[in-house]
Amino acid sequence: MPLSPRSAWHGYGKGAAIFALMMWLLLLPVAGFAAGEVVPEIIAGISRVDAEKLIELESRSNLVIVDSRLLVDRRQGYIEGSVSLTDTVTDCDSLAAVAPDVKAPILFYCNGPRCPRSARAAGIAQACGYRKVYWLRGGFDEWKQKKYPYVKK
Amino acid sequence: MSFPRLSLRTLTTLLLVVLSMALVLLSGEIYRSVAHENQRHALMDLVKIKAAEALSELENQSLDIGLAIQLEPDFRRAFEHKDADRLNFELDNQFQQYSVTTGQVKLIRLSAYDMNFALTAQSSAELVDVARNTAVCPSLLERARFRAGTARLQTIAELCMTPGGRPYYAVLVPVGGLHPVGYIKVVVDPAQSLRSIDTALGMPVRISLNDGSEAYESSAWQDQGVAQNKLIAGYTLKDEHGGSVLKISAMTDISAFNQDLAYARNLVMGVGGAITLLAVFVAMLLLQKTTLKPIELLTRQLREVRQDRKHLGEQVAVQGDAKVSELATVFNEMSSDLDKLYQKLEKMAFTDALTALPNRAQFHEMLRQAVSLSRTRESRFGLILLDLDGFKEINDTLGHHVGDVLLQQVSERLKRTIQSINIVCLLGAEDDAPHVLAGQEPAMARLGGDEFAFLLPALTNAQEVMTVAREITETLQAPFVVEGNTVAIGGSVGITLFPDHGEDGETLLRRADIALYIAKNTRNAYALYNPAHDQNSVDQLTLRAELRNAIATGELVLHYQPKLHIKTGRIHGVEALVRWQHPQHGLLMPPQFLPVAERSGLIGVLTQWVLVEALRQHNVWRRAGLDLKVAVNLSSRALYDLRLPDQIAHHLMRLQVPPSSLELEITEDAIMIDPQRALEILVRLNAMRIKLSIDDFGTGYSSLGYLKRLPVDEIKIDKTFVMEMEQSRSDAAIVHATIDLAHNLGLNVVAEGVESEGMLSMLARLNCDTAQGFYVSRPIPGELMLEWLSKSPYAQDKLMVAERV
Repeated sequence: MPLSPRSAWHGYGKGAAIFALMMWLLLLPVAGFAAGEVVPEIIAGISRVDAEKLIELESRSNLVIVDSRLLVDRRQGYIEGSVSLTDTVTDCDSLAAVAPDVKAPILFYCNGPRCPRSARAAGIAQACGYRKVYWLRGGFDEWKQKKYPYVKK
Repeated sequence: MSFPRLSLRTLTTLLLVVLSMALVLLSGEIYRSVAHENQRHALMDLVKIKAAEALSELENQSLDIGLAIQLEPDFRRAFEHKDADRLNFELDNQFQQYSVTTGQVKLIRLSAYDMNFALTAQSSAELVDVARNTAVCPSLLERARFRAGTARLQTIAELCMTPGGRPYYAVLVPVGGLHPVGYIKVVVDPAQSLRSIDTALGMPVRISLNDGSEAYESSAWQDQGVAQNKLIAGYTLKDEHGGSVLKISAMTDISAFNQDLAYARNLVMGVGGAITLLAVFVAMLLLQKTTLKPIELLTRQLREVRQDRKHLGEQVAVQGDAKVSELATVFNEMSSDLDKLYQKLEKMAFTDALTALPNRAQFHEMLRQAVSLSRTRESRFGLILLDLDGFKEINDTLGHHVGDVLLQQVSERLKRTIQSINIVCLLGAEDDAPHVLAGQEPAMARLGGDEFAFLLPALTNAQEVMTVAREITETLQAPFVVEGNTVAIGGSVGITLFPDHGEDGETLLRRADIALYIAKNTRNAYALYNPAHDQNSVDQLTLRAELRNAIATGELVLHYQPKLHIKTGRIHGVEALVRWQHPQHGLLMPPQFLPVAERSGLIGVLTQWVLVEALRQHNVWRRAGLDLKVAVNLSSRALYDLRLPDQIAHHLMRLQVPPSSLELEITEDAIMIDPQRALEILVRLNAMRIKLSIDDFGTGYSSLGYLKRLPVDEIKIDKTFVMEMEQSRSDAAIVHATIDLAHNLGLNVVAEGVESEGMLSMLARLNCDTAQGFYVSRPIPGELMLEWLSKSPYAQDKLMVAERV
């Protein structure tokens, strides 16, 4: 069923077009709720990395790894050395607590590519002036998928 | 529709239905096995997925164990200090702990390795088939050893098998997170975890080792042989090198599936059967239309032709395929050919082959049509029957070939005559009413032998038909020339008129025959039927039939008229004369039945009978001491019969009669029919020393000059001259001259018709040799001859002697 009002406008009568519009409006919040915010592929000014890049960054720099997930999710396991900072509580102050140096590299991850928390948090970090913001878009899913070691307590 | 064809058609239909059913069943069976195979594959894939899930879960659980162990501070400390004893203790400790706490995972061994994969510690639990100092799944460590970069951080797992055939699952977990210091290897029993597949699948599962021994079996598991409606699919788990480690079999109940299959099969069979029936029905319809119907048409035509040949040649229009059309074409061609042939045959059957005229059968049909036509139009028509005179003689003397050619010429001449009559009729009719004559032309037919018939339609009176009859007879008067022979022939004609002389064809024909007979006997050329002499004619006609029997039944008799030798006064011979002792009509004279004999072809038989009877009588007399020459009359037909001399010789020999005792009397007219031929035959007879006599001398046109050349012995002066002799001087002169001339030629002379003493004495004066007539004696029966002779003054000497004796 095409939800586009445009095609509906052309395809059906006026009543049908209004009905399609209403349906679209009705479904809009549901869709947004179900899928969360659309996670972008790329965020300007933020480096998107994969698990291997993370390991490399961690090994050659003083990388701060931020776990943007809720604690409930973190209990299923997390990347060793990561700090927990849920995106909802992420701001310049809380960031400064885990990463005082805005010039130092900082990485955000959450559950996986469908999880918007890390992207949101990375955006906040960028706004707060962090220069080297990294984003593991694949999140913990990718990490676990690739069988890299994690911590589970 | 006939029964066999129905049967064949039904049989074909049944066969097709059975075949299609068999096909459906077979395809159903094939489909069933294919479906089962698909099901098995699907189930196998399901088992594969579930096994992979179970192993993945097992890996995760093992990883969790590996991660949990390294979080133990005591273990971590011992590991970092490479305190082997402590580490062993810790591993045992952990082993014990996880063996108890983990329900699903059956822990086999825990091992610790340093960064170079050297074993630093190991749990102490003994394994069944692996020595304590031997690594389980050594290939896992080999794989780990060759990793580089970030891959060294990864957890790896593998399924393997000890040489003893036991399956193990080993997971290598790095110790120390992103900065590993060594590894923990968690070895577990895969079979234990794979058991959960049965609940995951909701099916009974059996896990078996390589040697077939059972590692696990669900309680609901049934062996394959026992299982009804059960589908079993197996999936073999393999190690890194492709060697099979264990096999997981799942069993599913497919009775519902089989039911569905059976339902589907029945449905397909039903629908297939219906479609097949429909197809067969359509095919039959097509067959009916293209083949059976046309053949039926042809068959019907055949039947109609058989019932009525008029249908022959009718073309049957047939629509069908090429073969059938060809058949129809051939059929039609054959029909046409047969029609032509049949018409030809019909024509032959109704046509006289010799003259190409309609034959008797056709003439009867023509006559029938003429009667019905004239009856409706109330018109008159004439029927003419023509019989050739003297044809038999020509046929006998000149041969059948000449006779045939003559008949052709006669018919040609008659045709022309009839055509000219036709023209006259049409011309005459033009002024009055041409429509009356439409389709009514004079017709002509040959009824057989020398008999022809004519139909003259649209006549107004008897005079017209008499005219035509006269023309017909006159046409024949001019002589014919057949192969060098000039042949004179005449014809007698009998005429009847419709409706004057008969209401139907048969009567007309019969009465025309009577008229013809009258014409013959009255020596008139033609005669119109006259009821007055009907009775007489009928009698004459019946004689024909009766004469045939008369010879056989002995109704014919010979009477003998004595011949007196004038000089000696003795009876020296007799003339045999045939009589018919008719049961109803009494004694009949030759003129009353000999013409009948001649016309009906009985004269030959009659002659033979007369010859034999006369010779027999001669013998009787001779045995009684009486020597009488016997004279027998030969008709012209008998004379020209080429077999006659031989037949006579045969009779003479058989009856022991000297030829000189037999005399043959031949009329002058008979000889004059074909003098040349007559001469030949007479010479032959003369050579046999048979006496030959010219009968009725003086009535014909023969000359004595001609007679001189004939080998005859005597002449018989016709009685007309002899009887008038006493009153007529001229007749007496003729007799006198004849006797003298005959004597000069060396011939004996017999005078016939001697009825008085005066005549006898006159003849004696004229030197006549022999006298015959009532004065001497009437013809008398043979058996009375002796008695008569004994009383007569002319008895022979021998007889006198005999009487005296």
